[in-house]
Amino acid sequence: MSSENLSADVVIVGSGVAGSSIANELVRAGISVIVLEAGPRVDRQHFVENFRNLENKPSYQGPFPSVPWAPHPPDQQTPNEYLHTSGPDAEAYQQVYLRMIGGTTWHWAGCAWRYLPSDFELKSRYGQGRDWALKYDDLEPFYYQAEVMMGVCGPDPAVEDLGSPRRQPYPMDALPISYAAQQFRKLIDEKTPWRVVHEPQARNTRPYANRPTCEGHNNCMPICPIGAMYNGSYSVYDAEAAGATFIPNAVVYKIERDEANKLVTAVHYLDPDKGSHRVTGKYFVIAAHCIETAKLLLVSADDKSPTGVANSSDQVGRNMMDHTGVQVTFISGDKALWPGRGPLETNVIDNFRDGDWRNERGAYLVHMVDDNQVDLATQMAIAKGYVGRELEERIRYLAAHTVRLFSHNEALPDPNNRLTLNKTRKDALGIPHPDVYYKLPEYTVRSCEHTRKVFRELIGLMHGTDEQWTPGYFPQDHPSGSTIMGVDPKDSVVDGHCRTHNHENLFIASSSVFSTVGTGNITLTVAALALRVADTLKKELNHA
Amino acid sequence: MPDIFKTFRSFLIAGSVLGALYGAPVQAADEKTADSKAAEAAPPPATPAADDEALLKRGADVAIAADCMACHTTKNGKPFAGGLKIATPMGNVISTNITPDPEHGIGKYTETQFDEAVRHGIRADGANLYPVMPYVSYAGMTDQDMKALYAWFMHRVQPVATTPPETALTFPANVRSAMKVWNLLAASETPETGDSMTFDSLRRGKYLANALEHCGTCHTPRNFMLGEKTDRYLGGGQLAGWYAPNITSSETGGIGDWSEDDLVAYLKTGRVHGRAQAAGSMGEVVSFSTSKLSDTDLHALAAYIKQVPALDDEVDHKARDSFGQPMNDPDIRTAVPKRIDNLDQMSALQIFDDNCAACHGRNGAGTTDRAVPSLFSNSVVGSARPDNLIMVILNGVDRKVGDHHAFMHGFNDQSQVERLSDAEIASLVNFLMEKFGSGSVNVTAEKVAEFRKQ
Amino acid sequence: MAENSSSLWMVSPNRMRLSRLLRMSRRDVLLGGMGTIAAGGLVSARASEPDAQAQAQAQLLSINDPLVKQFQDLSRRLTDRDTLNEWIGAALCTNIVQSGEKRKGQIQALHALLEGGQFASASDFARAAEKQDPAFKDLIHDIMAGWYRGVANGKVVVYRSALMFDITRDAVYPKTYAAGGPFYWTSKPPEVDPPKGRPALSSSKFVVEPT
Repeated sequence: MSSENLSADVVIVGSGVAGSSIANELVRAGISVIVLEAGPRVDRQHFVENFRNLENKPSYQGPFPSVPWAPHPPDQQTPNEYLHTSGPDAEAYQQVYLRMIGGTTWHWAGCAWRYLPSDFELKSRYGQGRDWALKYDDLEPFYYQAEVMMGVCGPDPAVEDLGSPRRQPYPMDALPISYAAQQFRKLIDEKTPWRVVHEPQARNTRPYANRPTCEGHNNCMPICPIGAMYNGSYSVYDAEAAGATFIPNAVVYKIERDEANKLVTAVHYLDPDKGSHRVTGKYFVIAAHCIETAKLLLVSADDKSPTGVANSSDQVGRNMMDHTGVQVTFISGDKALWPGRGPLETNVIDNFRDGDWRNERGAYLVHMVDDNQVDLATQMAIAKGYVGRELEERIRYLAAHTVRLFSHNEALPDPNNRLTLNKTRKDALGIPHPDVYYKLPEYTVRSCEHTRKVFRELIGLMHGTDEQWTPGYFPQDHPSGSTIMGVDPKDSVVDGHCRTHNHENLFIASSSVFSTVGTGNITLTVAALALRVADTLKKELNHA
Repeated sequence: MPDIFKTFRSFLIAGSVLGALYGAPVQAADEKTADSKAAEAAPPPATPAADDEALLKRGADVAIAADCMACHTTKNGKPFAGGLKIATPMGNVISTNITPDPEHGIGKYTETQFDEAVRHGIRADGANLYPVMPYVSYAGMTDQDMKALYAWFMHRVQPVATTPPETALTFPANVRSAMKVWNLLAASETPETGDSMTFDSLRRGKYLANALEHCGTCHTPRNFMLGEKTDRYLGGGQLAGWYAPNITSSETGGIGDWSEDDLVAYLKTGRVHGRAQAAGSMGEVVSFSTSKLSDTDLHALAAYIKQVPALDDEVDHKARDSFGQPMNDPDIRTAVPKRIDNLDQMSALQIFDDNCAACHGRNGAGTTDRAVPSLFSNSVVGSARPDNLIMVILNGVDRKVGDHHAFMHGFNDQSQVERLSDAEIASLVNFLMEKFGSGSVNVTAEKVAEFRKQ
Repeated sequence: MAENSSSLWMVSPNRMRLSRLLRMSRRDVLLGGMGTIAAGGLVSARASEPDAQAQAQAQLLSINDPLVKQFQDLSRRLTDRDTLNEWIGAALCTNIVQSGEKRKGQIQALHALLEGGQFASASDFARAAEKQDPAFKDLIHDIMAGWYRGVANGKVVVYRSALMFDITRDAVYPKTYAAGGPFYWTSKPPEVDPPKGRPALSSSKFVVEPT
């Protein structure tokens, strides 16, 4: 292939849910598309095999050893071989993600939350953080489009209103929750002022889009063995079937602009043999995950843009956010629950997603994780010194009674929480590794304290013992904010349409544009924003 | 996915018939002229009793039993509006709109013209239908049932004002009048008489099997002129890709080990634990037709099939559902996770373990609720013909019966879940037949490639 | 979930062994080459670096190796089970021996203790072992983790066949091997009474890692 001939109406960097869904929309509207993916093509069966051969089963990165030309974090350990975090809460920003065709949704739990209307207006409603440069209503139609694309099941709003107004019902009926979740829900109903809701999920409760009904393999993370849960590879397949070109192993390292530094003219990528290729287009979309997107803009710094592309505001790489987690595991003193039957995450306490108190502490949601605890129970029982028959009865008891709770606590955009390029560590192609400095905002710390109180109350209600608190804070792998959205080009990177303030034909489709991070998992909002970018591009290209 | 392609039997496929048709003294009639004349001459349809509920009910039942829906409706399309592509090597035969719309459907058909089309394969304009339309079977229908069917189509089917694309076959099959020659050579069912609802059970069963459900269209092999080989009635026939197995009462080659209740359950639900599940065209037959028959009719049909003379099978010499057992070997592992770009073909055991075992169980026993069938004691795996196993792995299962939706994704190159290579599928098929069936028949990647093209 | 024919694949290794006795001789032949074949099929020519670990592991000890026999004796005593799958035993023994230089000697020494005394239960034996030599605790942990978790020397030796899934098979499935069909998880799993048994070994620290 002659690199000089690589050209399309729209060039997209990244083949995850954002990049592939934009590609699919555009190519079906007659617009030519090239998608450049840093990682390789991959195949589900090998991940299933890898998972079963993996000793550390809870490691979500474990079944996905990366390629040297597109490394991703090997694990969630600090220090890390790829993502180097520092600062007072370095461990709370040790994110994991995947660089390969289809992206990080190969290992997500399928939780498909819409944000609340208030999440877009945190500043004006509660005086905290920022407002987005768009409102919930702007995104509502695209939320629905994303739900149809991904195949989302969820509760009937008339029965269980999740707080994000809907014009249409969920594409699929809500997933029936497990016996363990039913008991938890009953307890919360009877003994607390809170409630447990059915989590909206991109998971089939009936055959949908030529994929089967969920069978409860309890392995959404790291790999759904049967394809009952959405991942970005389906949108890749759809886009390819319609004629989009996907180039794997194409690591973009430079964003080229015209003389005036107004329009992007090309992106350059390296193949695994370090051969360089130039790809031209009319429009460009960076959809390379929050961390890699910011890294690419910074790596592209040159004389015209010495601090990085699209970075006249100096906000690229800043305002790093996440859902920080509090986690506790304990042994319930009540009847057997046997968690781990069915999908991993199906139910949520949603009472703390919004309230007037958001003027001083962050919102959060609580998952009772429906994770098979047999392996953990076995490790605990062996560590306690049991053998033989006593070990077996102890394993059964612990596996039936172990409860794990964790939370998603809202962060705030703080410019000091910042991604930069590592000065010494480089990948096989010579591209610097990312560094992130992270200090939890006090707003989030206060939120986590509140969560701990709630967790203690729940442990009491369940007559729990042997509680093990995960030390400190841990990342929920929902990084966001690194190319923050705003109306003012002086303090933000993209506008309400995810178009960079600096370059009118450069868009960003990623959680990196989030102005706040809310509490629900970020993927559905990423997909909705991406579909809105596709809509904008369709209008501009078809009118041109 | 593009349109669902129904795979249709080979009588339009084999070279021999084309040769025969080509060499036959075909009258090259100017069909176009005939068409327009016929259209002009067509009188407005007589109006059969729109309020004769008994007649209309019978018509509805006949339409179901004759499975008109399967071919004349596309997936997600409007009932009977046609448009389904039925693949043949000469091109796609596209089913027509048979709703009572006067312009796009059969609204202008008189009862006589309707009868001519259904029982004799002659369109209102005088042109011959392609024998993809099983008029040689429908020829066996009673006058009374024909009348009922006509009444139901005219009064109970919603008119749809769309015309599907024209069928455009390659020569010589595009000469519709060539079918006249074929019709002379093919044996039609002898028409039944009287009231089919009053037939005794065996006669009713035979009527259902032959005149309506047209079982033999697929399950009876064809002679060199591609008429049904009457001496091999229900002895098993090759379809494009799929194999419609021997369903005679032979205990070794057919389904002689099935009880009448088994057969009824199969026709009603599409699945009998430990025996077989319906996929491909048979899945559609169950979805659209047999699952909706009355229990009385199902038992009549099953009893009739049960007494069809036993015929040995050429390759299956022991009941197809009698093979295999659970695989209980420990899963001893020696590998560590491989890099994500390592897509090398894995061992047959691993291909099975990583693509099948999640649902069918590592031991092959299926799910406890039987939503996913067992791989052993399974006719598809137990048959010495790998055809249906290959086809089901490539194309999956998509069978709706009432509220139950049996679904398995395929592993072909349109799969959203997993796309297996020809070599991987060959390896898997051999493994499955070895472990759970009657033994490997050494399917090659080349063989799988042929099925993939069907 | 009721125990029934459809969950046969979850039968314990003990029962598996019984069903296999008839074709033992053929299995013997097969197993000699088993590790090699599996490893050879998995190590890619395209992989950037050959996997030394997988190569080394290709050589599993024979089920007839005296050390494996001793390992099986210890394993039966420590699991309170009369029969344990010997192929799994050989694979576990191989990996445990590879995990540290002292392990082979410890297996032999622990076996000597077993031979030299009368122990009514796994717990009795484990207590006596730790009393004699505190270092036996780690070996016993390895043996327990091997059979129950299917893990030895930091590697998966068996996954689905690990005993932890055998003893919980009336309630949950190993991840990726659910066999209940859609929505099986809404049904009520079995009740489990609080166990009364005591630990045999001294307690070790165990921290729940974030995932």
